[in-house]
Order: sequence, then structure tokens, then C-alpha cells
Amino acid sequence: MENIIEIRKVLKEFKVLKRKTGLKSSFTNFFSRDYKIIKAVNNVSLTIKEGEFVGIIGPNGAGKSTLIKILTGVLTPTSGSVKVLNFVPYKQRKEYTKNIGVVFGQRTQLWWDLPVKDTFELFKYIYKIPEEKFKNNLNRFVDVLGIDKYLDTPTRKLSLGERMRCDLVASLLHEPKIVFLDEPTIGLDVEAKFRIREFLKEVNTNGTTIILTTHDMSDIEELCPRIVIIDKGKKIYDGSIENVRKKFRKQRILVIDFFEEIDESKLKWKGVKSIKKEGDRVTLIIDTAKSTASDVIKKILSKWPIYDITVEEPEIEEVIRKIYKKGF
Amino acid sequence: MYHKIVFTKFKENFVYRTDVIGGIINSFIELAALWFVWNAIYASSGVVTIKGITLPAMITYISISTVIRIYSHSYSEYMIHDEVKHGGIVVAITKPINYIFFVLSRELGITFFRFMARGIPILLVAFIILGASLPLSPIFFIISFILGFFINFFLVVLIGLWSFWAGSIWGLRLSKNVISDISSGAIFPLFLFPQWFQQIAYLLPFQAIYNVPLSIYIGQISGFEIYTSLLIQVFWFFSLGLIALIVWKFAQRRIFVQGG
Repeated sequence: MENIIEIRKVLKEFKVLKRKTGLKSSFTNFFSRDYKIIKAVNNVSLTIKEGEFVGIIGPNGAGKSTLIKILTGVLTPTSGSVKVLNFVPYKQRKEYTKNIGVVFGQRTQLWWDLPVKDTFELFKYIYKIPEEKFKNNLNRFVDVLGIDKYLDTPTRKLSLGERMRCDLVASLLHEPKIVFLDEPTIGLDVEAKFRIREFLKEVNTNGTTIILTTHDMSDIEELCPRIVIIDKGKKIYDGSIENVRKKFRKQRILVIDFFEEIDESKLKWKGVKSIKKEGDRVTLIIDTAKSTASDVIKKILSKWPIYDITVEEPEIEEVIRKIYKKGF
Repeated sequence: MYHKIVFTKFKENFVYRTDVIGGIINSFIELAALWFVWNAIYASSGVVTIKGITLPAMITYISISTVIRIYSHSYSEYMIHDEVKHGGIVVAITKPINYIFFVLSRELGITFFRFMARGIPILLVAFIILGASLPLSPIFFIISFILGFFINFFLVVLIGLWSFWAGSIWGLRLSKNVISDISSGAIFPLFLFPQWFQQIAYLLPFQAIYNVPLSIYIGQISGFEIYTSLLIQVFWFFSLGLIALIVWKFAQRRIFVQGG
């Protein structure tokens, strides 16, 4: 497969006004301004192949949206090279944008006071979509996303989930080669998320490359074989989600339901990092470098009769939180 | 495809019923106020003509001036400002369209709608009830009217784009509107002002929006003077259009959308 996105050593600096508090500095700020430079994207290189589904994650303000805006041609990088579909997005914007679809989760491209289908109809002209193709795509998308009821509804009357589904349709009608989704599931209910994920899977299976930013780890787990983690403008991880898990698979969480309350101090074996007791239930965290879950289970079974036992891996959210905190 | 944007914007206006009704009332109040003022001026001074203009010609002048005000008081500055400040501009920028043409298409959609909803009723009242007359050189008037629309549009775009450099554009917008209202001939015809004021006004672009088309309409200027006046409009059309495009080029470099 060919590389369709290639960015090298991209840097994006923003000049931010330093404002001080107080009346006196409000006055001085009026005449002279003090700026500081912020590196929103700092020396990021990235290649993405055709047909990939890549999740970009990172804490708030990490630079994800800035990166998406550079990739979609909205922002010009301060330095570095950007090549998407053999275009330089910020230079050849008009030609380039014909080939991409973009959804910014926090703002809509649908006309606020008009029925949703009017926007679709307008996009048919903007992207010069042949009637046949337009109808086929619309019918198919409406079906998968379950939005046939809303086509005649003005955007302002839609719920967030309904609006987001319509926004996705709007950005995919022209069959773009790459779709950029900036937090498409933000604030959505379970049903809307489910529909959107099913839809995105189908779109990706049909060969469309999808780049997604999100804060929802279940989006990532369900959709993205590859993740890129960005923090403070830097790429700190690029690879499979499996690798992240492996690296952090150093602990197991053991939840044991005993028949009766036990003295938890007797559980302080080697490798047991923490013990939490709530009545008959005890939760242990085991450091697998020093011990194993099965060892601990054996020891417990030899001492007490137990009612139930479960072994859990740490949640991916937990893992990601650690990476944000300590680095990869 | 831009015609579809014009059409979509036109259609959208049907949604705003109270706005439409308010706009119609507003236009009629403006016209009525000017009508009373000029009737009173002619009646109290006891003259038939003021600087060669009769009362019916003056009524014609203010009627057409009210129609021009439909587009000259544009909403596009506000829309551009909002899109720049709140980042909505990224939606337009990630589409294969030119933002300035997109704004122009929206403006045309709104203008066509307002012309239908407000312009036609105003003209009907002006012709049937107030006794306004038809233009003396209709072709020249229409050319001049259209050039005036674009000159106004480019000024509106320039003020809107100022949002890229300034936190607020309302001060600039207010200054422009005040200077324009006085120096364009929108409320009082320029030829009634002292000579020195006229000379200043003729150097500004605003008179190309009201004074030129209105003067052509009532025959205040005729013959060769029509050509020179149109030439001045053409000059403003190209220079302001060019400045707007250059400013847009610089603005694109400044695009700085919050978030990241």
C-alpha cells in the first residue's frame, strides 16, 4: 500500500498574548503587547498508508486538533513538510479538499435553519457529485446511520447525536479518499456511538482512510488498529494498541469474593501491591514482575474457601492516563 | 455551484419570519420619515425647486435610496466576524470553495430575498402612491446600481476581514457607517451640501454606492457626465475588489483557529 499521508518534522508555533491581571496592566497592554511562543505541534513526523484507520489521542491541549488542522490545510506549519495525497494541503487547498472529508465534532457544517437534506443537496453541487452516485451514497448512509427520520428536520432541532450522524453523511457523500474526524463521538449517547462506529467500520472496509481524534478509549479499542499518542505537541507513541497493552500488562487486578470477612493483612505476600477490602470482597493489585496472578490465586485457595474470583487487566483508559502522566 | 449557495441562502430567509416582517416595517418607516421631511422642507421654503430638483424628483430619489439601503446595510460583516472569532471558518476552508465567493453568494442570496420582500413593496408604494418616476436612463442606472452593490460588498468584506487582526470590528464598522451615511448621499443628496464637502465626498468610495446611481436615476447627471461617474465606480470596483482579495490572502496566513 502507498503512503498517502507523509509529514516530516512538522512544527507549528503560535504567538500567544501574555495578559497580566490588574487595571494598570490592562492599561499598558492596550499600548504594548507581550507575546510568548507556544509550540502546539513540535517536530512531528508521521506516515499513514492508504486504507488505514488511525486514532490520534492525547490529553486536552496536546496538539491533536492543530495536527488535524495542518493535515486538512487550515493551518500552515511553521516549518516541516506536509504531503497528503500528493498535495501540499495549505498550498493547494482547493484541489486538495475535493479529495477529503472533514468533521469537526464541536461545530457543524450543516446549515443551521434548513432541513438537513438541503445541505446534502448543496454539497452535491459543491463537490460536483453525479446524481446517481449521490442518491446511492445517501440511501446507503441514511440506512446504516438510521437518520431517515431527520432528513426534513432543520439542523437546529436535531440532538447532538443526530446532528453528528448527519455531519458524517455530509462529509462522506463525495466519497473522499481520506476522512478526518476531530472528536466525532464527543458527548454522544451509547446508541449514537454504536451507530457511528458501525458506520465508520464499513466506510473503512470500503477502502477509505480514516484519521480520528478522540478522548473515548472505547472508540480506539473498537476502531483503530493503530494509535498515535501526542502530548505537549510531541509524538510519544506510534504503533498498535496491543503494544501499549503489553507494555503495561505488568499488573493484574484480582477481585475475590470470600464467604466471610477475612483478615486482609494475611494477604500481604510478595508481589501484592495493594489490598482493598469491602466486606466479603477483596481487590488485589498484583505486580506481575514479582509474582503472578495464578500464584496468588493458588495461595488464597489453599487457605480459604472462596465464592467467586475474577482477574482483570488494567483498563486501557488507565494505561493511557499513565502514559500521559509519565510518558511511554 | 455558487448559484446553489445563492439559492440555499435565499431559501433560508423564509425561515426568519419576524426578521422579514421587521425589515419591511423598517424600510417603510425610513421612507415615510424622509417623505415627511422633504414635504415639509419644500412646503415651508415655498420654492418649486431646490438646486434644480423638484419635490417629485426628490421623492423619487429617497424611494430608490431606501431600496439601495436594503443591501448597503449588510449583515456579512457580522457573519465573517463570527466565523473568524468562533472558528466556523474552518468549515468553509476545508471545502473546495473560495471563502470570499462563498460570502458573496450568501450576500446575493440575502439581497435577492430582501429585494423581493422589501424592495418590490417599496417600489410599488413609491410608484403608485408617492408618484415616483421611472429612471431616465434605465440601462445606465442598472449598471451603476450593480457596481454600487459590489463596491459596498467589498467594503463590507474588508471590515469583516479586519477581524483577523482586531478583537472587535464594531468601532470600524460604526465609523464606516457614519461616514457613509453622510458622505454617500444616502439621506441627503450630495449636491445640497457645500462645495468643499462635496469635493471631499467625491474622493470617497461611498458616493459610488448611493450618489452615482441615484443621480443617474433622477437625471441629475446626464450625457458625458454619466460615463465619467460610471468610470469612477469602475475604478472603485476594481481597486476595492483587488484590496479585498489581497487582504484575504494575508488573512489566510493569519488563520489561527483556537483549539488543539
